[in-house]
Amino acid sequence: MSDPSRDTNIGQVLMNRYQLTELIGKGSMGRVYRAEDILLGGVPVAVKFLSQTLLNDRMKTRFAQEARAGALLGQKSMHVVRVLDYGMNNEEIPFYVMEFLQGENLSDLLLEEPLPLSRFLRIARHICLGLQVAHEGIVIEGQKCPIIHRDIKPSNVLVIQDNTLGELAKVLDFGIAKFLGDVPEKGQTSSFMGTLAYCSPEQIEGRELDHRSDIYSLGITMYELLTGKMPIQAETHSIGSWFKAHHFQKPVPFSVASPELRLPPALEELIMACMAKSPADRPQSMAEIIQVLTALEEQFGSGRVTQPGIDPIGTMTSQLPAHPSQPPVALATVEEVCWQSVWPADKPVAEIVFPMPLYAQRESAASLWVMLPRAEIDRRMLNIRYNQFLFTTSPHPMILWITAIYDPKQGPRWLPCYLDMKLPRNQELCTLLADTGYYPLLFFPLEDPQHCTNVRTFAIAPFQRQLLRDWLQTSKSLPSSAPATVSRNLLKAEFEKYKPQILAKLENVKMATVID
Amino acid sequence: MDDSELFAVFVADLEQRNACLFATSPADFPLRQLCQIRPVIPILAKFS
Repeated sequence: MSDPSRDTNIGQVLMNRYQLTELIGKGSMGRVYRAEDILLGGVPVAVKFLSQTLLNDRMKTRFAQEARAGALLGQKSMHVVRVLDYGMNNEEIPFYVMEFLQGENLSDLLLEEPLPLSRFLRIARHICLGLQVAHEGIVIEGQKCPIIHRDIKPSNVLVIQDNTLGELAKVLDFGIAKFLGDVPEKGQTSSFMGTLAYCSPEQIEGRELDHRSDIYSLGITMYELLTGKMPIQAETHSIGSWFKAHHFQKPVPFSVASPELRLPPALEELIMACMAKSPADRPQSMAEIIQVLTALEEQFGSGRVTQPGIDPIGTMTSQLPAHPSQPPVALATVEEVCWQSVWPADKPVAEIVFPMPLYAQRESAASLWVMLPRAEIDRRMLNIRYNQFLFTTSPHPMILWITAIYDPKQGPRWLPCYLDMKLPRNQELCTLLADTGYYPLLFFPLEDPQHCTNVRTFAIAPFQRQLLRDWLQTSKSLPSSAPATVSRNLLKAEFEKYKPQILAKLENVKMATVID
Repeated sequence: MDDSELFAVFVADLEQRNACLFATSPADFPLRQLCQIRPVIPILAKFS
């Protein structure tokens, strides 16, 4: 915690939207603040600034790249910290905005004690899932670009308690991530970036890397999580010393490092294989590692789950409402359901939006499904997001659920939904919105309507969630005195009046330097 | 049934299904084409 009187950034409002409230972290790359998203009614966010000592063009580009990777990867996995926005403050210092997560990083957790096996398995699987989407890559200008993290270590993994899912691990700090296929700047092919104790032999040499370098760092991290010790020790903390250690030192066997530790042989083998000196001798993909961890997790339990009612993986027998557009096999999370969803047969292939409840094994959420031309989906991925709810009690209780995505070049794309609150399905959607505090927006391209290609998540401000709860109760108790279409038309007229106000708010948010 | 009427029916039918169409007039929306390609909505199938 810092003394606010010493930090002139506290209280600053960035892009007329994010008010900095507290310094929550400092690192070599920059500072991280807690902030409130004023536009969304005070939703907490985290804002990371690039360190002033690194304010050169190359580092600015790298920082923007980090933001971009975080924004695109965060859409694909809940195990990567989500980047929501990017900009520059009045002094031209770049920053990006992330979801605010209250948790501990693994490095801090290790100060207490090594992780017990069941908890380790769950956390390690989450890290792998986050890295898997990075290695699979993100689409930039129509091209798939795999990303390697290059700095996997305990302090770059945050563990949070999710109200619905229990303990979740998220990979953060793609600060030195590398887009495979990037052309290195002249003279920089052999530069070293990473953390010496966790970097692969090829990384410390400054050689061209692939995703198997992350697998090596993951191996060191997993070893440390289980034993609290490092598998390889350098004589001094110099590059030369670590070079020798990573190239020639064998990792200390688990039986020597922690004689009391009893690990399944398959796990020991996996971790030792990850730390092989040659990339060819390591597991060749995250999928291979996840397969082993998942099998072990089913056998040894999935660790600390704080939320009652959530069972270990594979043991829950939930009675889920069937929906033809949702995957036939029950998936664990809403996010997984999103990516497996197909456009429903009872909706036309046309530019429309509609709400849909999503049911996963461990959680449920309301969602919005939208179909747009593929080019527009690609263009709007980094748009500003906005949402708001309006309610009319009479003549028929109805909620207008407004979602907008916006950037100055393309203007707004309004995504309104009218919820007739006398219908049980809409009462359920309202409950889900209030309870979860978020909803995913699923994009389906008009040209290839079968599958969801992009997902963005919207947070709902706490006061809006309370309003939704109140409106739900009111709707149940109020009689309807006219057809629902009358209220719908009233709300449509109201929406037209609101649009300029919302647009003014959105235009007021300085769009900053666009990430691309 | 002309395009405007068909459009109004189509929009009303979508609204019944909780969906909202972005196009606001038949000029912005190839409704007859949609009827031919994908008569998935019963009301459209009726007119296709």
